[in-house]
Amino acid sequence: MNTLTGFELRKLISRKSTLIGLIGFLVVSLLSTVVPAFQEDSYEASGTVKGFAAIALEKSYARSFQGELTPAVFSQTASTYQKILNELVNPNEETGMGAGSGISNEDFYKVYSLSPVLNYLRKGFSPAGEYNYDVVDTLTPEKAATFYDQRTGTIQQVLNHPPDGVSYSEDAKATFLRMNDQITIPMKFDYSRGWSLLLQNSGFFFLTVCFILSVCTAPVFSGEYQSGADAIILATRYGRSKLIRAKIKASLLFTSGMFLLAWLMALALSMIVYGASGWNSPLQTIDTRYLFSPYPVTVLGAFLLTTLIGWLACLAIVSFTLLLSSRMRTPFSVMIWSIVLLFVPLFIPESRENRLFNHLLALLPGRQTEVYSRFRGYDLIEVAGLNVPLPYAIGWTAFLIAIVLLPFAWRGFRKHEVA
Amino acid sequence: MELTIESISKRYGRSVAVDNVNVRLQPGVYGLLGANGAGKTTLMRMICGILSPSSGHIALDAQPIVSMGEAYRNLLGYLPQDFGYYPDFTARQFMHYTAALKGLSTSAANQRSEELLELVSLKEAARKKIRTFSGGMKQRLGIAQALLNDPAILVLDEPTAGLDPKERVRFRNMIAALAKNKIVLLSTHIVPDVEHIAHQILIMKKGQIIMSGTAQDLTRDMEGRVWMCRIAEREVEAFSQLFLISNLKHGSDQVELRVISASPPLPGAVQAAPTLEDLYLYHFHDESDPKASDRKERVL
Repeated sequence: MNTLTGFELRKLISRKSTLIGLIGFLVVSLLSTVVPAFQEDSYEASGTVKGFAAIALEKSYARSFQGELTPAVFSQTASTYQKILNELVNPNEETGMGAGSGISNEDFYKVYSLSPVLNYLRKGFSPAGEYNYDVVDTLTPEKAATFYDQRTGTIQQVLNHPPDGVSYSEDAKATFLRMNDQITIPMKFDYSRGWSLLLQNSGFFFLTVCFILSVCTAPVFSGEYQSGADAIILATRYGRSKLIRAKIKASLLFTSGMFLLAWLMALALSMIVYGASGWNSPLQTIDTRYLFSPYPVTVLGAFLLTTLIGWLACLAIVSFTLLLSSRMRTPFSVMIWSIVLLFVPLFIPESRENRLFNHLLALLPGRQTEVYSRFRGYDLIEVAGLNVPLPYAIGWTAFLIAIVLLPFAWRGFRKHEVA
Repeated sequence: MELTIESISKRYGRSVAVDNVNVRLQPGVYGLLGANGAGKTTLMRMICGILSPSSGHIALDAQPIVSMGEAYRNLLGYLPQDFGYYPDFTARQFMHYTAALKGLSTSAANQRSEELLELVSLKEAARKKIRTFSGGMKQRLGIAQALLNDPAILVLDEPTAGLDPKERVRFRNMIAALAKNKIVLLSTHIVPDVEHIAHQILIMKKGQIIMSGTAQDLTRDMEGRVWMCRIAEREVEAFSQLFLISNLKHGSDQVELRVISASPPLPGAVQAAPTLEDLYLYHFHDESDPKASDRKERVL
């Protein structure tokens, strides 16, 4: 790092907004990891368990299924569940609910320990896009053993008969089926609630980081205009060359450092509270909503991809902020416009009919931060004959925005005149 | 070395800040004298390449400064009129930062910063954050940063603003010592500063350079137009409506006036040797005085 970059970094770090930002990161990290821990609940024979005790109990239930989810595991679980159910209950005929739904709390507590696998069966054997809690009540062990075939069948059904407003080309179908084929079966299972919670909250987390970094980097160029330091800077030998490079470099380093610091802080808190188990399980096991995800990655892989794309999204918004900063007179106006760009896409409703519109919407800053949720969908963007899965398209778009805007920011400061 | 300013104009919409200025600057100290809004700062910014002229061009030894780029800025030291500091930087850090911007090596930056901080009496405050500095200390730091690269062209916009009389004298001596083989252009509206430092004085009014020369050359035109006379104190107000008074000194029962007028303002008025201050007043008395036009007839 050269001297000028060091000085520019020092300017960024010494701002009050950076300190406030760091406090903000800590708060959001706590909100994303520690606070939800107090609201966790689980069940044992004596009733409901809350907070950290619930986490320990959930871990113990999950550990009894730790390892590969073979057809035998599904078959055995369905069989055990139905056996317990039949011994315990009379279906609630008045309400019309299934046996599983109709059982008393005490009986529910007795079958709850099977939930980690039962939930996959419920999702896997429900109609596409639905979650039928009672489907396991009548699921034969033989049928349960076909869990992976059932999953593949549901995926094929969705691809061949997509919902209204959605259609898949043959190439797109082939791409998704190929991705699904790469998922290792039988899937490996472990307790991964910490990862799940962290990734679920990643959208809000990244959005907050983007917001804070926009505020922190808004004065990079415009602060010089506002303070009048531009007159000195631009009259110096390297004021229109190396300094701009140093400012951009420092801003990107600062962004990356702050992003990593914040995200690692959240990760560390999550690991402390929930543990690191489940990192090497497939993404499909992290949460029943991801069971049909076509992405052949582990939980750690999904975390790293989400981190990478979240980081690129931050770089994109910071590049945009730098562009505005090089052209606007005050940091405040830069902040306003950056925040508008960041938040307005969040308020644009998705279309029910136009999938392309939704895909383009997902590429906008602000929406880019929701990348983790895109890993469960079957969305591709076709670019120059290539089918790019939406999360990767988001990453590439953020990267391109960052790369394309920086030369304009450069030019903005280089051409600036002290009037 | 010659800095040529040729037909330079700067327009903002319909208003003209600098109007067709032509000057050739060679090593020496040039004082740019003019009232606020005369266009001094705009002209200096164009000389420093931080503001593009609407027309005309500036060249150093026949080479346009725009095409010289870094090479030109490497020769330049500039103290803007109102400029920003980084309040969380110490004076030393600010000097090192500016030194890095000027391309000095780390060792040269250290050595030069210490020398200049000593020169502007900020050595003891070098570790203090700039936010704790008084206006005068900031101004001295600004002067020091302008000198970091030992510039061949030194442009100082209102360098003595905020300095106390002792500091102003120190500054004048410092510039006199540094000016050898340099083009030093400094602007001010404090006449004695220019009178003491500048070898050549450029008088700027409404965007144009209306006069230039040494202090003697410029005041020569005023000879026979400066008068000393005495009047009763009660007559001062009526008198000031009629004549341009450059100085006024209260005595026991009378007031001694220094008057600028083409003819004797009173019978018995005595001629006085004109000063640059008289000249300044003569040219700029109408800048903020609505009754000036009535008096102008008598002055001329």
